[in-house]
Amino acid sequence: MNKFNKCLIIAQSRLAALELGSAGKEFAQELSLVCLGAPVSAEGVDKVYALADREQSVTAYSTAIAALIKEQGYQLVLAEQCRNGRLMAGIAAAVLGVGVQTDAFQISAGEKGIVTKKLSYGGFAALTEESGSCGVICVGAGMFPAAEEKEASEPELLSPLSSGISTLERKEKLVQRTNLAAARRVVGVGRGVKDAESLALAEKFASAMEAELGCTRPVAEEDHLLPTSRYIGVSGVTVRPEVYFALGISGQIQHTAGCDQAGLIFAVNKDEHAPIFKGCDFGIVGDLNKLLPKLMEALANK
Amino acid sequence: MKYVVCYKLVPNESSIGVGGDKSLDFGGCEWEIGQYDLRAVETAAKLTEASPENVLIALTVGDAVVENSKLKKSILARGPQELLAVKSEKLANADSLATAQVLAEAIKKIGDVDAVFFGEGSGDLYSQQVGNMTGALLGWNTVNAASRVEADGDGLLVERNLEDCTEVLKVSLPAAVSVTSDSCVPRLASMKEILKAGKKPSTIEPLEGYQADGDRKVSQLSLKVVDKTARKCQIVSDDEEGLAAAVAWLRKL
Ligand SMILES: Cc1cc2nc3c(=O)[nH]c(=O)nc-3n(C[C@H](O)[C@H](O)[C@H](O)COP(=O)(O)OP(=O)(O)OC[C@H]3O[C@@H](n4cnc5c(N)ncnc54)[C@H](O)[C@@H]3O)c2cc1C
Repeated sequence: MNKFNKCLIIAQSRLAALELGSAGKEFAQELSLVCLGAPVSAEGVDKVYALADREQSVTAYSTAIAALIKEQGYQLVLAEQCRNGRLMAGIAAAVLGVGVQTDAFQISAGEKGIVTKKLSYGGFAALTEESGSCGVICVGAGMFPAAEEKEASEPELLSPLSSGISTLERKEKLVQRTNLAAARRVVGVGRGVKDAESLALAEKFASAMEAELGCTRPVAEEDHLLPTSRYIGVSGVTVRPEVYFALGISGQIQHTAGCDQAGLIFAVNKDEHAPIFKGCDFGIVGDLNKLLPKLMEALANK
Repeated sequence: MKYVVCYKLVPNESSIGVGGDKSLDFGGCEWEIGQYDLRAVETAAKLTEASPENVLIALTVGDAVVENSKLKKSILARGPQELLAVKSEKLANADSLATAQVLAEAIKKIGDVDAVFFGEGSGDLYSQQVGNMTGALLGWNTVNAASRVEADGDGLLVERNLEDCTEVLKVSLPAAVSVTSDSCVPRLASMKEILKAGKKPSTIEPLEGYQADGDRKVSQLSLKVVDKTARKCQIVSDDEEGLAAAVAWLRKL
């Protein structure tokens, strides 16, 4: 493909601005950057835009960003794959009349445009797509090396809507970083772990096995037993440990897509028909609340 | 208020068949309402139930599956008073913008809609884009990542759950809102509601009457089944023998 003429990068975090900066250089001649967070610039970026009032929700800037894309005639938009970045990608795509390529595990130059590969149908299939002469791509963390950082000198400010969306409150959250993606051993807990007591047992097992603790999506989102940064699967973290211990996990594809690259899988589930038993190396049918103490005791007494 | 909730019918992935060249065979599939769209239905139904004057219309686009009567009842049993579906063979393989263009046009046709709700992403492609695009095409206030939605006078109070913060917004109408998967727990449809749903009006419109063409905007180069790692599947029960085997297996690690 020929390089795109003009590319707009939309990034919230500093690191994403730098990574998308190097992606932009690979695919386009001329780069502009909209910083949804603190202004920053990257080597190769010609023009920086920033939000006039960062106390206002990013949602109040959709109109300004849509107008910018229309005026400047960008053919390629690269957006950080975070919730605000996804929103702006959708806005950009509506302006440009194209679809958005998201959640790609591979992004490369194709014959006509940018080719992306993503998992679909819960991880059952891989979908390969190619943009046309205009494209909008959501780019995940770590897909490109970070470009050299530059100071964002006098960014041009974008104005929020004067009415329509007003921000009443903003609260920072504590973000829990995890080592799951790089862990040598991982214990994953599913909804078979129903309360704090079972979770404590799973934690004890994880520490006996020297494993990091992860979970399924509903354990994080519905039961709030662990932070969302710990859920494994097609829409969460992908783990590649030597051993994965699946405790009380049914084994639906959306979850197993995130642990299929484990060297070995050990499963505990009280239902002998649970799909996890069709995708593990060793499985034991039983109640984890009874089994885990027995296993730990036996392992402790050599 | 007049609300619309959009939903997608998706194949249950465990029922998708595999062709010789690893292609996907949807022939004998079981179809269901996208898990995360049910959250949008619940959110919209709660808002609607606050006043007998409120109306909720369910809207979907797709191929012949939109006519499946069990699925029509299933959505109508969860709160909407009526259903509109836009049908075309092409829409089976629509991408996010192709879908959003049809939805936006349908919402304009319905007319006087105050707010439209979406799930976070569809169960099949999960690009998390259709709500954002539809809102943008309509030129409405557009919000994703909504973890809580309440009526607030002439607008909506929306809590957004982002990676590093939460924010509370006052959003004026008309608005397009995509709710998160943890925004609420969807109701189970009762037998009584399912029976009532059979009597609710539903309209199927062919895409031919629309300006939107339903064609993909991003080309699909391939769609192939992903190979799964083959595993030994040694399964034991929790008797003494099984436990001993498990301990031996773990000791070898
Ligand atoms: C678009 C989309 C994306 C998704 N992405 C993800 C994702 O990234 N990651 C993810 O995990 N999920 C994801 N999901 C959800 C996924 O489909 C499943 O719902 C989820 O993985 C199931 O989690 P679970 O196994 O913990 O719960 P369940 O399916 O409820 O399974 C619980 C299991 O625990 C067993 N059990 C119960 N009690 C005990 C006990 N005492 N001892 C032993 N076993 C017990 C049961 O037999 C059962 O098999 C996604 C869904 C959608 C629609």
